[in-house]
Amino acid sequence: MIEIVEKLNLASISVPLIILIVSLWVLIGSVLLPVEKRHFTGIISFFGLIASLLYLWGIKDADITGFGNAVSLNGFSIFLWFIILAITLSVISVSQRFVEDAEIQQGEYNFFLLIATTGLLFIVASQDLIMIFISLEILSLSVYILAGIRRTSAGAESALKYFILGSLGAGMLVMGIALIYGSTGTVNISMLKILLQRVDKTPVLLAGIIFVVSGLAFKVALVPFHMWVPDVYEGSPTPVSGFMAGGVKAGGVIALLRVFNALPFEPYSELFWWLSAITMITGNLMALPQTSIKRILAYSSVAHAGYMMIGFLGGESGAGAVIFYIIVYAASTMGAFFVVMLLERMETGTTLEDIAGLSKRHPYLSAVMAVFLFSLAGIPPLAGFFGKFYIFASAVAQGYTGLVIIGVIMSVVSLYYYLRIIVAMYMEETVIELIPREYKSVRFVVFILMLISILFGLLSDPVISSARAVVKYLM
Amino acid sequence: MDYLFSNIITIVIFLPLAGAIILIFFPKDKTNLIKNFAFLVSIATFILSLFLYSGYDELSPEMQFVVNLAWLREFGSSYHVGIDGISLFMVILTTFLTPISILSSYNYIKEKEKEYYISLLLLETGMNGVFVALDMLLFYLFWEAMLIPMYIIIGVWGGPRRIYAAVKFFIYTMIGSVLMLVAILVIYFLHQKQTGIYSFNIFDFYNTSIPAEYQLLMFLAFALAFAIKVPMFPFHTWLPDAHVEAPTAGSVILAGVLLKMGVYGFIRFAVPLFPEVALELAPYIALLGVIGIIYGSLVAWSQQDVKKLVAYSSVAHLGAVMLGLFSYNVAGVEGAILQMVNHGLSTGALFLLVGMLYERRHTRMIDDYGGIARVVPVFSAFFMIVMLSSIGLPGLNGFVGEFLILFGAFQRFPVLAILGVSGVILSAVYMLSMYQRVVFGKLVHEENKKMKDVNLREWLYMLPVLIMIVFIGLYPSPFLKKMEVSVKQYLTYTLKNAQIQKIQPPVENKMEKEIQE
Repeated sequence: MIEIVEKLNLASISVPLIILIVSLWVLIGSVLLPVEKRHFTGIISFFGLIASLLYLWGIKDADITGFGNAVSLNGFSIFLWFIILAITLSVISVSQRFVEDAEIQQGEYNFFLLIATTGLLFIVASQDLIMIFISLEILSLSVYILAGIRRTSAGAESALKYFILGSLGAGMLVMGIALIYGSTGTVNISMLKILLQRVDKTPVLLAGIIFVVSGLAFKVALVPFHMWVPDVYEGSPTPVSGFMAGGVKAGGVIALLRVFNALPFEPYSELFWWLSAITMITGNLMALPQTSIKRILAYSSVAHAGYMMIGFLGGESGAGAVIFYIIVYAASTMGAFFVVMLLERMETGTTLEDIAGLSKRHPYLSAVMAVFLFSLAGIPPLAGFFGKFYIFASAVAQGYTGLVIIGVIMSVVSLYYYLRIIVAMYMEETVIELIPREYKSVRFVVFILMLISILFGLLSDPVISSARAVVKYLM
Repeated sequence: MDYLFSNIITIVIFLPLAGAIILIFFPKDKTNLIKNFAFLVSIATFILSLFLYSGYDELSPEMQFVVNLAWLREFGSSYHVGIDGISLFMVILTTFLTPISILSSYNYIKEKEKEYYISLLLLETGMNGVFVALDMLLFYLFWEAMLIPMYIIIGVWGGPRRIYAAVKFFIYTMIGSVLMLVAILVIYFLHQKQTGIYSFNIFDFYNTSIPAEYQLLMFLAFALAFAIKVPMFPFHTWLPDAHVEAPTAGSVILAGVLLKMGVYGFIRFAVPLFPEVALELAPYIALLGVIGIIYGSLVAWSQQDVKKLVAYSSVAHLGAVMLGLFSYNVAGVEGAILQMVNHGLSTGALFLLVGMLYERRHTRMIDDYGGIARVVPVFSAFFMIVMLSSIGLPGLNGFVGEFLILFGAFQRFPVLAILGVSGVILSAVYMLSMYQRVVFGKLVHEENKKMKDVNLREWLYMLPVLIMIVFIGLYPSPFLKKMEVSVKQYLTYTLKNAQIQKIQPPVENKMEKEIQE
C-alpha cells in the first residue's frame, strides 16, 4: 500500500491537494456554520489560496512527475499555477460581498470555485489525454453549477445551456480520445507526439484528432463552437463570468496547446489557421451590435481566443507569447467584468445606456474601465498591446503574415466596440443615475489589475522571458 | 549637470508625463491651480527643449543627444532616442505649441478641467516620443499611444458631432498603423535572418536588404499609415471632421504637430527603408500632393465655416509639403521641413484666432461676422498677419517655405510645380475673401458691436507665434542651417541606396552633383 502511494508520488500534486483540502474545509464550514457566519468560508478560501501561493513559491524549482507520468510538476506547471491561483484569489476576493448581496449560498459558491480551481491546476499539469479530460470535467461541472448558482431564470438558462453544450463538447472529447487510443495505443502526450509522426493517417485516427480538437474548442469557445458564450456569460453572476473569461479560458487554451504540440505540424496547422481566422472574424463582428456590456465582453473573449490561436502557429516563441497573453488578457478582461459587477443592477446586467455619463460622477471607475478596454483593444503602451505584439511577432517569424494581417485588421474592428463603451462613459449624457457598489476589496483588486494592465507591457521583459523559458517543458 | 544634459531628451519627453501623473492627485475643484501647474510644466519643457536647440551641433550629420538603454532584451528593442536636424524642429514645435494651447484653453474648457490638462500633457509626451524614437518598437508605441489622449480631447471637449469625429479619427489612423506594424515585424525578422541579431534599431532596419517583391507592398503599408496622418488626398476625410469638432487647443495640436508626424514618418522611415520604391513612386506621391493642394484650396474656398476653411487649407498646405519632400533635392526637402514648422505656426495661430471668435460669439459662420475691424482692431491686425503668412506673403514665414518647395519641385517635376503654384493663388483667393467677409465691410450684426478685443492672456499666447512668423519670414537662415547637414545626409542616403539596386534615371546624376555642391 505504502509502495503504491510512493509510486504515485503525491508531491507532484501537492498544490491541487492543498486547494482540495481547503475546499473541503469550506464545504464543512458551509454546512456547520450558522448562516450569518458563512462569510468565514470566504476567509478560509482566501487564506488557503495565499498559503498555497506561498507554498508554491517554496517549491518553485521542483521537477517531478507522478501518477505514472500522468501529472508533472515542472517549471511550466508551476508558472501556470501561479497565474491560476492569482486568478482565483482575485475572483474570491471580489465575490464575497457581491455573493452576500445577491443572496447566493456563500459556502457553496466558494466551494465550487475552489473545486474549479483544482480542475484548472490539474489541466496545466496533466501529461495525458485522460488526465486532461478528467480535469476539464472537474472544472466544467463546477462552473456549470456556478453559472446557475443564482436561482433566476437567466441563471438557470445559462447553466442549462452551458451544461448541454459543454457535455456535447465533453462527449466529443472523450470519443476522440478513445479513437486516438484505438489507433495508437497510448494516451500519453509525449508518446503520442512520437507515434503520430510514424503511424499511418487512418480515417479513424483523423476523426479522433478532429473530435479532440473540437471538444477542446468547445471549452475554449472557438468559432463555430462558441454559441453558448454570450448567453452564459450574460446569465452567470458577473464574478463567475470574469472567472470563465480569465480562468476557464486559460485552462482550455493550455489543454489545446498541449494537444496541438503533440500533433504533427502538417496538416493540422492549417486546421488551426482556419479556426483562428474565423474565430477572430466572427467574435469581433458579432460584438459590434451588442448593447449589453457583458455580451460585448463575452464576444470579445471569443475573439481573444482567436488571437491566442495565432500564437499556436508561432512555434516555441509563440507558445511563450500565448502564456504571456493569458496573463495580460486575464487581468484586463477580469478587471472589466469586476467593474461591471460594481455597476450592475442585480437582475438586468449593465447596458451601454446604464453607464452613459459615468465619468462625470465616477471618474476613477471610468478611468480604470477605460484602461482595461484600451488594453483589450491592444493600444500601446498598455499590456494588451504587448500581448498581441508578441503573438503576432512569433507568427510573422514563422511566415504566417496573412493570418497576422487578419489579426491586426480585426483588432481595429474590435476597437470600435471597445470605444463604444468608452464613448458611453465619457462622451454621452447621463440617462440613469447608477449607484456603484462600494466594495473596498473590489476596488483594491481592480486597482492591482489596472497596474498589471498598464505596467506588464512596458516592463514585460522578465515576464515574457520566463514565459518563454517555461514553455520548453511543453515542446 | 553633465548627466542631466546628456539625458535632456528623456527629460523633454517625460516631464509632461510626470506633470500629468502629479496632476492626478490635485483636487478637482482647484481649477486655477491645475491650469497654472499644467502651463508651468509645459513651459519648463519648452525651456528645456531650447537646450536641445542650442546644444545641437549643426555640422555633424550624426544623431545627437543619443540615449540607448536596454529595454526588451530578448527582442532587441531598446529605449533608443536621439535627434537630428529634422526632428529637432519637430520637437521644438511641439514644446512651443503645447504651452500656447494650454494657455488658450483657460476659458474655453469649462468642465472636467483636470482630465483635460492631463490629456494635453500626455499628448505632449507621446508627440515628443514619436519625433525622437530611434527604435521601431518604441516609435510605434508612441505613435499609437498618442491616439488615446487626442481621441479623448476630441470626444469629450469637442463640438456637437464630437463622438463621430473622435471615433472616426481613432479608427482611421489605427487602420493605417496596424499594417505598418506587420511590415515592421517582417523587416525585423528579415534582419534577424540576415544577421542573426534581433534588433529594432532603426539603423539596423536601414541596412536590411528587403527582397524586391515585398518592397512595394511594405512601402505601401508604411506609406498608408503616414499618408493618413499627413493627410494626403484621398485619405484626408477624417481631418475636417476632427478639426471642426475638436476644441481649439485640440485643433492647434492636430494641425501643428500631429499632421507633421505623417511627413516625419516618410522622412525617417518610409523613404530610407525603401529608397528605390520611394524614388519610383515619387512622381505619383508628388501628384497626390498637387491634387491635395488644388482640391484642398477649392474646397476651402466653398466653406461657410471659418474653422472648416482652415481645416481644408491644411490639406492644401500639407500637399505642398509632400510635393517638396518628394522632389528629392535640398531645396525641396528643406522647404518641406521649414513649411511644416510654418504651417504649425500659422495654421495653429489661425485656429487660435477662430477659437477667440468662437469664445466671443459662439459661432464660426462667416456670415455671422463682418465689419469687426472697428470693434476689435488688435484682433483684426493679428488675424491679418497670420492670414498673410498662411497665404505666403513675402516677408512672412509662409513665403520662405513655399518658395523653397516650388523651387525644388520645379527642378524635378516642372509641370507639377506649375500646378502647385496655383495653390498659392488659390490660397490667396479663399483666405482673402474669408478675411474680407469677416473683418471688413459693414457691421451688420448687432451682437458684434459688443465684442471685446484681445485680452492680456490672448496677447500672451499670440505674441510668441507672431514673432516667430515674422522672424522666420525675414531671417530663415539659422533654421535652414541647422537642418542642412541632416537633409543632405538624408538625400545622399536615399539616393545612393536607390542607385545601388537599380540603374538610375539620368535626373539623379544632376541631383547628386547638386548635393555635393
